[in-house]
Amino acid sequence: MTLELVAALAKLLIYAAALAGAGTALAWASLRDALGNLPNEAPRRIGWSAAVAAASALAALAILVARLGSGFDPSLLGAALGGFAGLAFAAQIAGAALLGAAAGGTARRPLRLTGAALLLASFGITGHAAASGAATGLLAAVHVAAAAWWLGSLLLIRSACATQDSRALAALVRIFARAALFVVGAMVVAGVVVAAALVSPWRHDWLTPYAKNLLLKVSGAGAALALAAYNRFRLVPLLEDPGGTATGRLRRSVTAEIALLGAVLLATAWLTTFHSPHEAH
Amino acid sequence: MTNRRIGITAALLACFVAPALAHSTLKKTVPASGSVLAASPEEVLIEFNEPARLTSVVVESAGQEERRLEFSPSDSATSFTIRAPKLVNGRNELRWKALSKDGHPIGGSIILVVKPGAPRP
Repeated sequence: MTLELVAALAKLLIYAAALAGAGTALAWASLRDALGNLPNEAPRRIGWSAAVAAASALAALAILVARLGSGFDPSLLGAALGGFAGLAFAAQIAGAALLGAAAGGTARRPLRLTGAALLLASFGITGHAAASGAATGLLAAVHVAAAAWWLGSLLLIRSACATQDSRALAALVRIFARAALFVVGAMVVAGVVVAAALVSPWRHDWLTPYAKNLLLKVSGAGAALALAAYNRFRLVPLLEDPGGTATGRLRRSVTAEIALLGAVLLATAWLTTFHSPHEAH
Repeated sequence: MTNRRIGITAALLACFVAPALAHSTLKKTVPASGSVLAASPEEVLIEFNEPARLTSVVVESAGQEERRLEFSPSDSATSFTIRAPKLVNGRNELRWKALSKDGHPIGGSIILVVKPGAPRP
């Protein structure tokens, strides 16, 4: 049980670091025109996230080897690194290395985005969704990439609340909201299709512990989406008032949205470590 | 979006929502867990419902040190054989660990009791 808890923690760190790092890189690339000179702290965040993602991937590998045998045996390393699990691990390490090496600078953007893509693609190579087929694996990667962009954008917007005036901030959030309609929409559709492939409602799979934990995750994501709608439709119009306090309120609200996404990642790490979509009722 | 586009999108999504493949679980063992045997079996068979990679099997018997058992094949397969496990009289617990198809470690135990004079199955 203790080793499983450590495995869940390592998984949470990989999820958080990969989504924050790769997500910041994606958001920086897509929102750069509206960001002005904000991304000064973005390279630092990307660099740290890449380092944590690589360290967590190595820790997760060591934990997996420990869980596969009794005592260390080189053949266990071969088992852990063989097949799709090894491919996913290689994508995580290579992606994190590229992301970290190209954390800053406009010229290194293609390299940075390649690193982000590799890191995020690793989540579609192995796991419950990937084991169900290439199509569900691909959808899982799309789901994770869209979630990463969402989180990365929120981190940048949160920083912008401290550095940009309210009109520039309102313009940034409007551009983000327009893109989010498609990106977060894609995340929701991909997530629903993968969930439907893993948990078949017509087989009463919703009664399993896996499905109950999945509903917990969906509830967190739903709360984050509701908060996003509040930010867009209630707080952003208030930013137009230069004397108002909407900037501070938006920053607090975005912080809460980031915290909710963190809770969703925690629920996902728990779900994928302790539960299987095919466990008994 | 036109009705035709919606229809095509729905059809594509339906293709993805195929029934999920089963998670790797133990299908059966020969002898079955809980068996009482007159002597140590010549081999123990472990069978999964889908390809998995067996990574470790150890046997723990009363009054004996934990012992690793060799098995084959060493690659991914649905069926694994432990030849000449040399189980001692009394309770033997064979603890196995494997890597499931979805990359998750799985494991379990097979209890075999060797009791000379027990009726042969």
